[in-house]
Amino acid sequence: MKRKGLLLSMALLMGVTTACGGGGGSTASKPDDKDTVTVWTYPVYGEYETELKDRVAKFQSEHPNITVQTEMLSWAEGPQKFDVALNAGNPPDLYFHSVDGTYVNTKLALDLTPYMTDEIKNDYLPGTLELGQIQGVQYGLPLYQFQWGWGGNKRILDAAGIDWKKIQSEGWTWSEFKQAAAKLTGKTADGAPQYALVTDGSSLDFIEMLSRNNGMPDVLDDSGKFQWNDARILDTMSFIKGLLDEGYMPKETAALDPTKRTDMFYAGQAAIISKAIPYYDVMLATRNKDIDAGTVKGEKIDFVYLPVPHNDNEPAKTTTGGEGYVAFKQKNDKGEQHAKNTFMVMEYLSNAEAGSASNQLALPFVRKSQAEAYAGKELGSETTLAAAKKMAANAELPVTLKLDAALAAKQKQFKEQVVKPNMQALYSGEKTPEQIADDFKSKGSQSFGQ
Amino acid sequence: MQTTASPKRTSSGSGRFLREYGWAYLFILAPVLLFLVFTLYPVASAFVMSFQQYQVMGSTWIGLDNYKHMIGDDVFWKSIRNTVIFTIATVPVNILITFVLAYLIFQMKNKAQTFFKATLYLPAVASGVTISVVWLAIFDPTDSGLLNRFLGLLGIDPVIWLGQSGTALFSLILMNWLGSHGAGIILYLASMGGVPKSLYEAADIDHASGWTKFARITWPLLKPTTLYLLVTGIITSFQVFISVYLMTQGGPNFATTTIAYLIYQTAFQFYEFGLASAQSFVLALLIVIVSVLQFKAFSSDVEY
Repeated sequence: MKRKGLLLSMALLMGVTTACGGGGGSTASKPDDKDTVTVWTYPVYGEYETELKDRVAKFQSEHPNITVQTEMLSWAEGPQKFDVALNAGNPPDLYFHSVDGTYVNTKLALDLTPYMTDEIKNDYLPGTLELGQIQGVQYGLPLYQFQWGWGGNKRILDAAGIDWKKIQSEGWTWSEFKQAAAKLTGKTADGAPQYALVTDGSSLDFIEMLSRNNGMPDVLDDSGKFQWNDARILDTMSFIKGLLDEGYMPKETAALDPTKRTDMFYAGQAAIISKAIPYYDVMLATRNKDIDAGTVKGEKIDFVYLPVPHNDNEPAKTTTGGEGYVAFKQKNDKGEQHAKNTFMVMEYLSNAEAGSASNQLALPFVRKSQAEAYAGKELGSETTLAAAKKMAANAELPVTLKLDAALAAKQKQFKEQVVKPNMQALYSGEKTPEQIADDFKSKGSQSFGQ
Repeated sequence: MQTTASPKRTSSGSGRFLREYGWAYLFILAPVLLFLVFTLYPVASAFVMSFQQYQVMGSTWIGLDNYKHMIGDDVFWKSIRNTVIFTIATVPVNILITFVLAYLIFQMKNKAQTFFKATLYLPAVASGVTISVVWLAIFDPTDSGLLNRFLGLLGIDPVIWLGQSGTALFSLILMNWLGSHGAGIILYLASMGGVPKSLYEAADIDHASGWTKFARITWPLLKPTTLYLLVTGIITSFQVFISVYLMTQGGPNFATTTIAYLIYQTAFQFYEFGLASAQSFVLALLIVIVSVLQFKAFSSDVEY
């Protein structure tokens, strides 16, 4: 009896420990077979989680054999969780993100070409379907087309006599920005410094947006040619250095993180924040209501969406890209029927009703059916929507959509290991623009062989 | 007198052996299996991976290329340098602070001891993330930052603590000095309580000074605890990650990039898992070498 108990316990223990290594998941071979599709996503906007639940419930009632398992990730931890799952060979079937060459490199990104019907393709507005492609192959369906600009505090801009409506419609040059910055720099009512512009020391979007407005689409162009190796990048660095030296930007920039950057903008210590999307309009309107209701303390801010200034001799460019669902298969492939089911869920989560994402974020729609479904219901002020539309005309698509995966990965590494430390050195005054330009040239030559 | 003889492993004896001692092996089996599955297997896989260009759908064997690439990489050497500086600056100072605090607490009465033990142990209970967020507010670079306000009272200009190469690593070291002493204090207090009072009484009879009693009795008898804190402290500081990840992300200009952070970056930002594995094994090797040297240097006159 005692021995039987011992053997039973050992068997149970083995069962428990070996169960940890077992791979789950269902496979379907016929359209009516039971199947489970996993979706990892983010709280894209305030109501997204609730809306997604409703949409999934509706889908499941129409397709009772397919279970959709959704997981709402946090923006902070989600990317790491996904990266680990992907590199372990077990990504979710659908993941909310931009398409990325590194995903394609794993050979687990699902090529959607066989499932893209003409009806679906024709529903996408010109130039938007490409946002889900890498080198012409469709891996994702964009839910919205994001665009990055700068954000202004209307009270401070008005007080300084800045004609922001003209800037929204005609854009502005670096020289014009410097003239405006001189007027926007001073002291707040309580004597704290007020800067014309605030950015943070760890993100790369500031230099990316400015260099894009100085004739460089990215570190590489879409043919893979190294761009940051001539006078244009030196000019861009010198422009930033000038802003720091003049006191238009905080001397503490190197140590500011994105949260502090936003705090300074909210506190009226900066007239312009270096990264904004039209959604700020909706977000700040909500914040203003909360201030009125007494649930949030602070000064109410009326948002002004601004284009990024461009070098005097270069055209204005707006940084854009697409985000939506990207489809994956797993190392232990679940078969063709599962891939079809995955696409069916993907298309459902990106359909006309899903245009709510673009609408909530005050961004241009990506599908005709979405634009029709939300016609007349647009959120965001008229001025912001008009500015966003104007800026969309100068859209510069990410070069990574055209680059091969290996080159895109090299560019990413160059940005993290060469650009980021050099930007921090520029902000803290530890390196001159000339030294940085030289470093880019030599390290770029090593990395890209050009 | 009773003696315990080990059961003979004859065919009938093995059944008896299993009946009498089987449960013990069953209990041992659980941690051994966990060790095999969650430690040994991943370590062995990572070792193999360090010679490969890792790809989910099939890795390529590239021999020593990852190790060669690592040796030729400036950032890798910077990370080693930063890690060594961090370790040298934090471990001895931390042990000294811990010892002094424990020594002061040991002189107190029971209630006061309990209060200070609990208070100083609190940071050990708090998560590294929470502590880092608090320190981010302390190191706020603007005039309104806590530390800068304090400096302002002394007439000193604000310092951009985490934004300059000259001060960023020091800021992380300062945070470490002022944070993690709770566990060490508990260990030292337990050891101090174990020192026989008769030794101090004998020293008193010989008119030994306070310093002599400390140098000849207290310190030598606390050496095993000190050695333990030294070894574990060095291992922990070689793996410093959370504060770097949350506060500086290795910057500015690699001034705070430690080896553990570099491994994370290589693996999860650049997806170079083979190279990250190679870096991990160099870190493990460093820790082993330093630990062996410490045992050789300090354990000769330690009695357990």
